[in-house]
Amino acid sequence: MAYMAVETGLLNAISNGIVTGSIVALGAIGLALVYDIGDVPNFAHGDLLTLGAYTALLVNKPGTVPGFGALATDTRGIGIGGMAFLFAVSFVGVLGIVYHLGGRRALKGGWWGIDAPPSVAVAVHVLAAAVVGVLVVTGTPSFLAALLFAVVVVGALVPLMESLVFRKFRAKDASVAMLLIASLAVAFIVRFGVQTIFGGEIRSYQVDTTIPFAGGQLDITFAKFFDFFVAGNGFSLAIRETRGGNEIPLATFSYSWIEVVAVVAIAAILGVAAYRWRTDTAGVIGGRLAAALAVVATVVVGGTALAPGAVPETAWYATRVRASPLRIGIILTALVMMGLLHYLLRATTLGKAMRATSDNRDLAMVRGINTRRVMMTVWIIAGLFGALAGVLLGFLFSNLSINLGFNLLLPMFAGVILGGINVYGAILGSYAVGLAMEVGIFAIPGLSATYRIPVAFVVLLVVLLVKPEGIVGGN
Amino acid sequence: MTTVLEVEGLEKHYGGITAVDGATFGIEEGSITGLIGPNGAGKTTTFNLISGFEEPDGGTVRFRGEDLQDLMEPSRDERVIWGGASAITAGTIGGIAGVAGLGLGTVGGLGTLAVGAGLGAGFYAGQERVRQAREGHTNSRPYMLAREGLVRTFQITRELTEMTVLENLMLAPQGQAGENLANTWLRRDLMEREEAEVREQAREMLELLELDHVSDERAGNLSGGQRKLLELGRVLMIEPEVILLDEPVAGVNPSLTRKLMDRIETLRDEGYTFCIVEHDMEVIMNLSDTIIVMSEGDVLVEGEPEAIQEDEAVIDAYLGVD
Amino acid sequence: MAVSDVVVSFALLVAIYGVLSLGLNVKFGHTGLLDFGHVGFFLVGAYTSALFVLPPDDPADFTNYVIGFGEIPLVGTWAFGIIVATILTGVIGGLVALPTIRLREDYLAITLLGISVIFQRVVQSESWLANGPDALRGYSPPFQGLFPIEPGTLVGAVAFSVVVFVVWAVATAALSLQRENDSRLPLDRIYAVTTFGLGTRAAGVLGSRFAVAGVAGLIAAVISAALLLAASLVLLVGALVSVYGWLVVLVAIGQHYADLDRRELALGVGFGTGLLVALLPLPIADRISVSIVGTLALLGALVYAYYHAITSYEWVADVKLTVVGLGAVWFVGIWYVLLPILGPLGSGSLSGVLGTLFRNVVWFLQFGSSAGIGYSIAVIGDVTVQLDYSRFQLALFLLSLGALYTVLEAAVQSPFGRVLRAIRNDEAVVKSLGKDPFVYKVQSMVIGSALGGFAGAMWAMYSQGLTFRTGAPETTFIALLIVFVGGVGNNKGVLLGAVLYWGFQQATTQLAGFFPPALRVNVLAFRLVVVGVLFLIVLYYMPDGLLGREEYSSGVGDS
Repeated sequence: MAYMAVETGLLNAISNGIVTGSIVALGAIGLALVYDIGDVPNFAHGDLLTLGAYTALLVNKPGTVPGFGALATDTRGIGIGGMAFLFAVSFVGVLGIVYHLGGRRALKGGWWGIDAPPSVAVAVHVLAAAVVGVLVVTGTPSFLAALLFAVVVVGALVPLMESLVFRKFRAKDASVAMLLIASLAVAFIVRFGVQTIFGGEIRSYQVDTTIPFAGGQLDITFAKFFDFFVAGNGFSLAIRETRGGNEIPLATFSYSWIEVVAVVAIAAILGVAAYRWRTDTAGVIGGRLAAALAVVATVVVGGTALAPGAVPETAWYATRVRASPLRIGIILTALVMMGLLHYLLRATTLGKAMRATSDNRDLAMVRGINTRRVMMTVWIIAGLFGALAGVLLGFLFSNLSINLGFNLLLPMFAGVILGGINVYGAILGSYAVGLAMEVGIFAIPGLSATYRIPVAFVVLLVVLLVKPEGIVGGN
Repeated sequence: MTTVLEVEGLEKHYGGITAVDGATFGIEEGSITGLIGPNGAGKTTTFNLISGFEEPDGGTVRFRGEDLQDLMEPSRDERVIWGGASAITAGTIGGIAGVAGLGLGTVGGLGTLAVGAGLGAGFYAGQERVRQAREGHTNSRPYMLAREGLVRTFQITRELTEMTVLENLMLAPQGQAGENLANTWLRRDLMEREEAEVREQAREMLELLELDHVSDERAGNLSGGQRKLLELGRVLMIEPEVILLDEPVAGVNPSLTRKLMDRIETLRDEGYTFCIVEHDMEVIMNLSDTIIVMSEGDVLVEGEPEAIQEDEAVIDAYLGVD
Repeated sequence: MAVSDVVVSFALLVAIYGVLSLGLNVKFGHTGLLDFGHVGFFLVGAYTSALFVLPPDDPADFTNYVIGFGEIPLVGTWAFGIIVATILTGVIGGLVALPTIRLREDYLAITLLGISVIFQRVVQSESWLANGPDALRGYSPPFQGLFPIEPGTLVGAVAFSVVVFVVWAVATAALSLQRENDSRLPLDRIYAVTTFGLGTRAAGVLGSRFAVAGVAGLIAAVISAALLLAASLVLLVGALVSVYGWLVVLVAIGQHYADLDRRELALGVGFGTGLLVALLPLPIADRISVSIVGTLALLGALVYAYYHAITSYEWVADVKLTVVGLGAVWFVGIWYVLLPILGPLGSGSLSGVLGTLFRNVVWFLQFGSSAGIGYSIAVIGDVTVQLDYSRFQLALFLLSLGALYTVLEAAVQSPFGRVLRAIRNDEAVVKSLGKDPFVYKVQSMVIGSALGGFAGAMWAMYSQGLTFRTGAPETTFIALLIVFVGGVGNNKGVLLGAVLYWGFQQATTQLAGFFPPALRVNVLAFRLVVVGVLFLIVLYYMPDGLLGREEYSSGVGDS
């Protein structure tokens, strides 16, 4: 029997903190963009997450949605009417998102940034909408289809907040206080709108959590144990899971110290090289990102190649971290989405316009940037990311309540303000807040999980009192 | 004549930019001093520094021989608030600790609470120092200067747009009994008597400024010139010694400008001291007893208007010649 | 249920939210401090006062709380608890303000929201403190033990006369205002009678009309106490007070709408009737979906017609709010007075019709409960009447509201209030005029938070059970709505806003009764959606509220 590792709460708290941070970050991205470019400290943003989480139920459990149940065959099956409905909604949703970017002209490709024949653009948009519709309908009632559906619908609905409410208030030169209060009213409407349809009971998704993996079955919600050993001859990692009281090893990675040193050295060299290579370029991948990617790639490649080995009999130090594939998936999803956002901001015309508007709106207007389109893009992104965060949160918590998103509002605000109200800062700030929440609960004795949000808030308060401009950026 | 305001080696930097660079000058009591200079010479920054709205990075400003920084010590009210808060907080923590940690029971807890409150009040003295050290350079207290008789107006008039013209003026007098919350309940008679006096005073001021016909108008509805008059009237209601006027006639029509200048001269003869930043050369040259020319954050020349108009260095500075 | 019982439960909430919103109005309306965490003080006030009247915790039962002062004489009373709750929340408000008050307004809003969430979470998760996530019960509201009252006893007579005092004083004050308008009714003579001659003779001695009203109320209270002690004339006194109240209300409505010409009156009545017609599908249609769709469609049509009318006809636009007000009065009249007698009328029961009418007229008393005094009246038959506790509680609440309103008005109608409004307008000006905004903002937070705490204590009395949901952020939102509807910075407007908000709530609660219980949650949530939409409309079209910002230029010392 191999040496056993003991679980340490701190590492677990850190890993939980990264998961929480990922979800907070997904939400905070939209909040930060709207705060920064739209000048609205949007108190309704938390409820967008709720809206997204409940919208997914339409696909995931159509039979339980009041009103829609008539089109469903049972809890999870839908009839032809239901299919037509979901298809139509997704189809209109996609086209709606495009429409928000500038009306009919946007549908004809006005937002593409390149000159394309209108007929081609229209065809592409319609085709995309149809593809999404088909994906949703054929995917029903799977979780991914539900996610896609929620993201599209909320992405199309949220910009309406701007065009129906905030744009009008801004046109009247409303003060920040007015916009704040208006957003609170919108929050009220969204939250209780959801409750009007879904009622007061707590709901949950039904997800088939077992997926085929490496020849066996893998339940993604079951926690896996990651045991780390530091021994005289090297460092090892064993992944295990508990089933029926027995611990079953899933995989073992073992490295001698020489291997560790080699990989670290190569990673460092490649990292520095990548940094030198990409720094001072204005492209998608700047210096720091390139270095990070190089290091990660080296560690992954090296780690896989040198993996074979066994768990040591004794170790100087051993510890165990608990993580489920679902949680890892959430982290990866968040990273992928951030990558996409980064690409959008750096490499597309729209993204460049957004950054210019963020720097100086008047100047951007003078330079002929369509600030209204930028504004709508911001709200669309807020909707897309918010819905994603909401659905993931609903899945992770395995229950949906009406306060799901509102409860996350303070952590999101904390992340955004911590980051100095800009989108990159908000991502960093959100991870800081997520970590603070989980580690705080763990580290302070007698603090129950109810105090997660107060901990996030205390972080915010300290930042506001000490350094109101945030941890990132000057102003 | 005595120098009522002495400025010595004043400095102010914003990031890498130096706005005021060692300016030194003095303002005589009962005189009108004009402060001029090309754009970016640091006039407005100097104004903010000597009115306490910004903190200098170097140098001193003395008002009647006292350092501005000393005059801007926290007011008694502010000290009471912070001291009370410290006492309450320390007392509560002490009381809770006494009951929960030491198991003293209710009576013991109350005793600890009292001791804690005492400690808190004592602790306050030290804490106040810490707070001052921390905030000393971020929170100036210009209102303390207004109480001492040094007031200013703003370049872009800042009237209380939602309040009436009369209310704008009635706000100004110092030390009104009714500004104390307890007096609004307990000394209503005193307050009402004083309020009637203040109202009378404000009406007289409005008559003087020929604004009496708009006294119940919201200040936001006034014309640009009327706003300048209102702002002048408001600082006069404070009955100050030194008045710093930031571009008092910008945007005011010529006949009103004439009136304003007359008013200022009359007030000077009554003993008020003025320091004026103004771009209108004709006005400033006619009005001022002394002119201070600033350039690149420092005083270039100081002298009587006639001499300044002849000065080569001044002409060069305005033309941008090095 | 008689109209009055509905009105009493509605007025209790108006009083509580009136005080709560007055507190927010001090902070936001007068000083410009956007406190999104106002409910935090409400929560602290509620729990604090409850702990003062609860008996010491019994470790054996299921509820746990840290301390209960209920058995200590003097300390364990509501009066003491409310005072402590008010002072404590004021102090907390001040302490919270110290570090945060310098923040930008959006940061301030977020920070204060966060602090209220912390309060809520502490109550929720610390089960030793105040029973944690479960409700804190086990106390009764003040003087409830005296009810149902014994008319022949001294305490009973005094309790009864307290309510008489409040009603009589309020009605007399209102009448004295109405007297100033032209009226065909002999209001002067009525006023002379109801003030027992004071209104015409001793007005000079007593000073203001409010002093006259107070003394008149006192006399009426003494007389009614004597009548109760001597002869247990509960019904007689109740009927007299009721009739006086109706007189004042009807005169008020009449005077308020006296200026309307015929077509405007018709429009208002039409609006009210339209509202009634729109609700017809609810009781008539069998299927719930049909009734919902029908009602919503008719309501939509009504709103559209109204919108169309105010945008196309100038004379309608001029009276757009009056029409809604008149329609509401008309609607309430029919809904509560006419509809209840339709049933007995249909069955031809004259005594039923008169009985219903009688119960509605004598609003001062509660009918038909088991306790009380039985009377036999011609035609109507046997009735049992009593003065129930909720009417007494309402009298206490209205007294508190009136007192707090007066104290607050004194504070803001002064140079102090002027500085607050100047801070809201432009802080730099205040600084340049030798006044320290910090000191004033802290005081504003203290007063506003203390009022929030007082309202919390009232809530503790009213609800007789507290949970951490008492501190839900929605409450702040409602208080904010009330402030905006009536008029930001206008205390009178805040009271109007509270009346309108709870009027809306009351009306829609009744409607929810038509839906099956399973759908209640949805209907009540939909009501809040409507509230949110109305709030946006108010914010956009009437940012200064119905009454607008108050003009203070003729404040004190100008009379």
